[in-house]
Amino acid sequence: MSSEFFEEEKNKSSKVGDYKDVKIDYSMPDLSNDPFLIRKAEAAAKMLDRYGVPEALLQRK
Amino acid sequence: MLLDKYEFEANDTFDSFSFESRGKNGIIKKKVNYRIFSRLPNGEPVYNLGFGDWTEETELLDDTSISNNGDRDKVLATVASTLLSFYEKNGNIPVYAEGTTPAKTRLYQMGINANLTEIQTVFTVYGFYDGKWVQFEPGWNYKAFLVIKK
Repeated sequence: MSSEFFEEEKNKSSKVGDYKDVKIDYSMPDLSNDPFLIRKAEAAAKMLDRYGVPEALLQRK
Repeated sequence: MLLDKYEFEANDTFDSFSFESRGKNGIIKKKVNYRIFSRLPNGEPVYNLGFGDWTEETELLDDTSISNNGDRDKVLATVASTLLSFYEKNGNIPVYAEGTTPAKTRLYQMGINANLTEIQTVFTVYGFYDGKWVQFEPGWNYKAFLVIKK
């Protein structure tokens, strides 16, 4: 990945409304009941319940 | 030269994204989903990144397949772009990522490793190693990752 790409993304992300450039698919399937995603989220929750998050995240303002 | 990535589409809440991988094994539909699964003590949400192949027949995601489509870097760059898009719409939320298998997690790690300097201009990446979260550094095999936009 080139540094130019990330610099561009960084600059772009500071502009309000850039997400509107992404095409929205209103017919995208609802994934809220997808068993794979549910399993992944449950595993992640167990992980954070047990080990917490980086201290720096808790000190973030 | 800008990094090659696939165009992607989002749902209207910008927590699900889809794109097509086009490579030596054909066209493979991919989906990236961000789902809240926890909250920090201050109430801030933490999201999980789910990423996999989309199976039209079952309308389910599958992270166990190995598509081997010859476009790993482009796919990973596209996933990183969806993360920026997710942040743009939903705010700077911590995002947790872990592969379904150690091999998948290593794949994520290789993608981060190979582009760490560039990635760190945009994101702060933490890795989970030996029972604790540490700032991501090359050369270590992490079990999971937490990403936040700078």
